[in-house]
Amino acid sequence: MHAPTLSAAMAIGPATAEEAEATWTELARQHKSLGDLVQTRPERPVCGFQHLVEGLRIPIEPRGATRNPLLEAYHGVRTITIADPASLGDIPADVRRVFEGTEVVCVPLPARDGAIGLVVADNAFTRDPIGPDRVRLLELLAFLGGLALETARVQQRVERQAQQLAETLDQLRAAQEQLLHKERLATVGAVVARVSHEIRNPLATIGGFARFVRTHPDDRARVERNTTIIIDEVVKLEGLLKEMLDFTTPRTPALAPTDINALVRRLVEVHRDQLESRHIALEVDLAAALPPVMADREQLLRVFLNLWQNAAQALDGQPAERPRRLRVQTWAADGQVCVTFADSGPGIPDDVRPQIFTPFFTTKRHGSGLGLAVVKKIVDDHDGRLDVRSDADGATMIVLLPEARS
Amino acid sequence: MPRILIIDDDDNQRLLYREAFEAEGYDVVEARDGREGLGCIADRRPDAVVLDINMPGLDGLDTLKRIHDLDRHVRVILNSAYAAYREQFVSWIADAYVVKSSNTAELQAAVRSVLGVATPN
Repeated sequence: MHAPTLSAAMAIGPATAEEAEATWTELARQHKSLGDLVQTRPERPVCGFQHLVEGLRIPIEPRGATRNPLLEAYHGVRTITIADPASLGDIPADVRRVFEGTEVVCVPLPARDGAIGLVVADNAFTRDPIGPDRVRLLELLAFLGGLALETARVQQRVERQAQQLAETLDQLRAAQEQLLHKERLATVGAVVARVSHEIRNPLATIGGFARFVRTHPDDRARVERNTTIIIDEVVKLEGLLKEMLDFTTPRTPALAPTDINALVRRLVEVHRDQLESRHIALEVDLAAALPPVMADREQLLRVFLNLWQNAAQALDGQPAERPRRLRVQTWAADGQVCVTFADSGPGIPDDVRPQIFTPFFTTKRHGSGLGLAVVKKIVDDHDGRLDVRSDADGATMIVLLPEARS
Repeated sequence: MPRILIIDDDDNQRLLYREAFEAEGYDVVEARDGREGLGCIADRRPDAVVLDINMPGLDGLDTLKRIHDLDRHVRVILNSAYAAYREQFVSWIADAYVVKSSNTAELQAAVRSVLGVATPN
């Protein structure tokens, strides 16, 4: 850091007696006062005095370490009048030269934390004493000058900080962008890992049995069995592909007034046997009169089937002493039609619950991890809501759909 | 001939491996998940286990730990569609790690290698 200095910033006035006389003569000729001169701004922007003080620097020594009256005025923030600068040895020689042989007044420019500068004035050429009125005027000017300088400094500091803030914000934005990019890559990585696993298994089976067919082409029974397996696995792959495409290709629902009860009955009719073979008791409780909803039947049926299958899977690993029950219920309330699928399974662990609608997230060993993500998407597309409740008695998925407006 | 236990939840995959190993003359035993597999190890005393990792219930890596506790002599070949499990410390207990493929030759070679059986003609 540089040692603090007082440096001459601005000087107004003639540098020599000749220059002073020339200025006064000119003013007299034009019948103008000194005030007029200041008002009209002299054409010569830099006076001789300015050149004289240019580069002038006074190191600011600590208070008490010096008897330099300029620094006393500065440190003490008070006006000091020096009768004869020549008598004061502590003033640097070049400063002294400027003020030699005249009375000099030093007025501090006050700011919040002490002086931020000085106004040094004399009557070098008229040699008039500087009266108290002039000093007070000078102090008033210095006060206003200090205020202006302080304001300018504060503004500069604010601008600098604003600039720093803007830079910090830019850096933060860049970091965030980078983070998002990494997150996207991580998601893509997870998707690729999950999908490649789901593809590799059936592919290995298909390829393996195709090889058997090639090595034993004459064993009719085995060829038939092996080709059946191959076809089954291909169907599995097609299903996976369809699920992924359905998820990534947006489809606008084809809305029509729909009776939710009728959809649930269809679901039960087709998939009831599946539950029986897994020893799961089914309870269906449909509201007597249900207002229609505007829905895409195929899509809603998919939602219901998915929730139904999830519930059934949750019950698969159920210990013998626990109930194996799936309860499907419909009702209407507050302008909404609700369908719930409640299983008596182990429920959804708290740490898993926030992620169950995340695409490609799954707790199952097999599956695309898209099931509930698709369910959520379809329900959202219907302006509906999907609620999850889970406790020790099992998990309940609640689909809420707005009633159709008549 | 040595006895091989195949633990895999995929029916078709088990059948595929059964046929491949039986063709080589092995005695093949099957289990659908880790729990059933552990029972087979106790009852049927296989020489080697071909163990899938992604399975419902007790998964392959948990099963591997239990096999290790149960019988340190049985050879275990991890057989997964995922190569990434190799980074899991537990998988290092296994004698071999094979990534599932339509060509069972690599799996068969791994079994022969861990059992010290000569290449069949």
